[in-house]
Amino acid sequence: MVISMIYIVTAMYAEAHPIITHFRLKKEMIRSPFQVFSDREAGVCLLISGTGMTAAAVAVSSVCTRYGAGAAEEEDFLLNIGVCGWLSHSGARPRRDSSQTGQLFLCNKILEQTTGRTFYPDILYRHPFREAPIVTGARVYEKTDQRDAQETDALLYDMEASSVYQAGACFLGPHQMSFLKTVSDDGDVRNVTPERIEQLIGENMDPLTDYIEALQAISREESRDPVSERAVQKAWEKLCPDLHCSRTMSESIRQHLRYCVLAGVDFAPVLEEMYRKGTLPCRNKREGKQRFEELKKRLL
Amino acid sequence: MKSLRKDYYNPPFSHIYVEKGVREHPRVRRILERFPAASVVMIDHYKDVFCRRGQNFVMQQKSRSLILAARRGTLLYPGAPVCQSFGNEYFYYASCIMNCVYDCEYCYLKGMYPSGNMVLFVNLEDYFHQVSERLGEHALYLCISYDTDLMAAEPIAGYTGEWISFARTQLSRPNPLKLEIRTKSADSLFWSEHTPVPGIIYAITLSPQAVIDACEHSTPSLRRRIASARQALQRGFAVRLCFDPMIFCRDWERHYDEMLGQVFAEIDPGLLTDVSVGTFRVSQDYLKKMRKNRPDSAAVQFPYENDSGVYHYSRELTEKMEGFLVKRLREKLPEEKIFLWEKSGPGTAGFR
Repeated sequence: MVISMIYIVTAMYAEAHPIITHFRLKKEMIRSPFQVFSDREAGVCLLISGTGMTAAAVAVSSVCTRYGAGAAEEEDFLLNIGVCGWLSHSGARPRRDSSQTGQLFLCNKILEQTTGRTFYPDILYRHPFREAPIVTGARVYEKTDQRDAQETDALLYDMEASSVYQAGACFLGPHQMSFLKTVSDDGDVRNVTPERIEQLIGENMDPLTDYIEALQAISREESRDPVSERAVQKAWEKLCPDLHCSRTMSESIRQHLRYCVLAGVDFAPVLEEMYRKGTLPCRNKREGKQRFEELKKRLL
Repeated sequence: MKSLRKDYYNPPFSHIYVEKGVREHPRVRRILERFPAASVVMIDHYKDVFCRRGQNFVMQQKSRSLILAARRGTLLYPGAPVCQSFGNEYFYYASCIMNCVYDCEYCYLKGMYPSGNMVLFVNLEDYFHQVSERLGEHALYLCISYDTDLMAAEPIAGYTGEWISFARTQLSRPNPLKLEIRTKSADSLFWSEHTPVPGIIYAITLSPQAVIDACEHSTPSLRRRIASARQALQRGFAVRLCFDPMIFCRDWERHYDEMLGQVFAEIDPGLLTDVSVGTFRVSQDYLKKMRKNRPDSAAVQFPYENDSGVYHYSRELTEKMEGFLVKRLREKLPEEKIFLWEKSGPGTAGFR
């Protein structure tokens, strides 16, 4: 797996600003209703979706389509970073607890309040964050909503995660999405100003950047060896016309060559000998078929 | 974050998903006690996690999660045509665990399941009830370790022990229950902690060490498997040795010959219930997914031949490999104890 691009989605500029600054991202001059900042060489692309479920879904879908997220297999990762509310309840007994403010959580379950649907991003990698379920709602969470929130096992509340997941899932797998949320309030949003949001994200930039760098390192470790595949491709491109291969034959040849590379069988001397003796290239399809059978036997 | 750089993946079962309906089940409590540091996530239905689209089996296997759930509906299924029935008329299998703690590259589970996570169904009593009902109608040959390695999962689930206890209660039934427990595990303690029950066959899969090294990751060595089989036989357990699937590799004749040498140096063939032989075979749908999941596996990328939807080695190679092994086995065992899988029609499964 090669992570060619890490897509970071935030709802507000205040959430994005510390990340833009840290990675020195440049604003993309494109015609789009959403602001996009990126550093293509560093493999980071940040998108400001706007608040709310519809905005998040449209923005993720738009950027993933524009940049071809997930088009090359297993290459991209989607991170939803932002602030969230802390659902100040514990089981059936409500309690006020605003001491969570500033805590960074990795979401292990996303509940969509309007539909009751749940989504589960994979938590495959080691991380230093606390984990919690999050509920995504259509309105700003206020303390008066506590009764609804208590019906779930969620601890966090936001307005985008479920939509980011669903839109992202059209392009990427559950192992390619993470949701990191910093608690900004417990339902009292009077003090949640852009400055405060920027401060809360800024204070968590070290673990956030560590996590992003880890994802990039994983991509390097998991990357397939392109050298072997190139060796297969090169030999295959020469052999197919020389054997007058049909489509089925050419796929079979490719599979034989691929197996040889993986099993440590050196096919080059076999091919060299056939060319040297003049049995390759073949003059027609009939001869090609005979050589094809001969070659298969010799390779295995 | 330093640990993240050293070893990126979470340890196995760092995350346990529990269906809300079974959260108070005694087996759930017992299993959760074994993983006190795990993050527990409540879910509505196991398929919400297990059947998500776009999952990466191989990456999930590196940090496998556990899903605890209850399975409803039919729990016993007729055995697939590509599976060996050993001459039993009523051949069924049951999956009380989905996926395996081992990582065998050629395993059909990698093509069958959408997820690398492991599901444990905790409602074993429902399985026992259906078995009991079926025994009221006819005898039953039931394989309970097809879609997992039940004995390898014993430290987590303890299900083998529970099946043994259940089988013991069915001994007086007029229609006999025969259980096959297929495994690659080599837990020597198991044989001292349990006693033989008539009708339970422990089917131990053996492969040459070269194949184990190349393809059967995290499994016990050939030496340990042989030692385990020997110990089981000495204690009176019924043991079947499975040379199935045979995997082609360079010098396969030498490797399989050496393996048999090791086996019969330790094991008295007269004590074996029987042996089974079969080369690798798998349905085309599964192989397609397996090849996508494991582009780096020689066993999976071998240029198999497709015959009515089942991929296998060429007829010539199949006959050569199986013939070689059967010939050697005939020197040690009577013909009726050697079961060679022969194609009876296109199937949907393959072999672990």
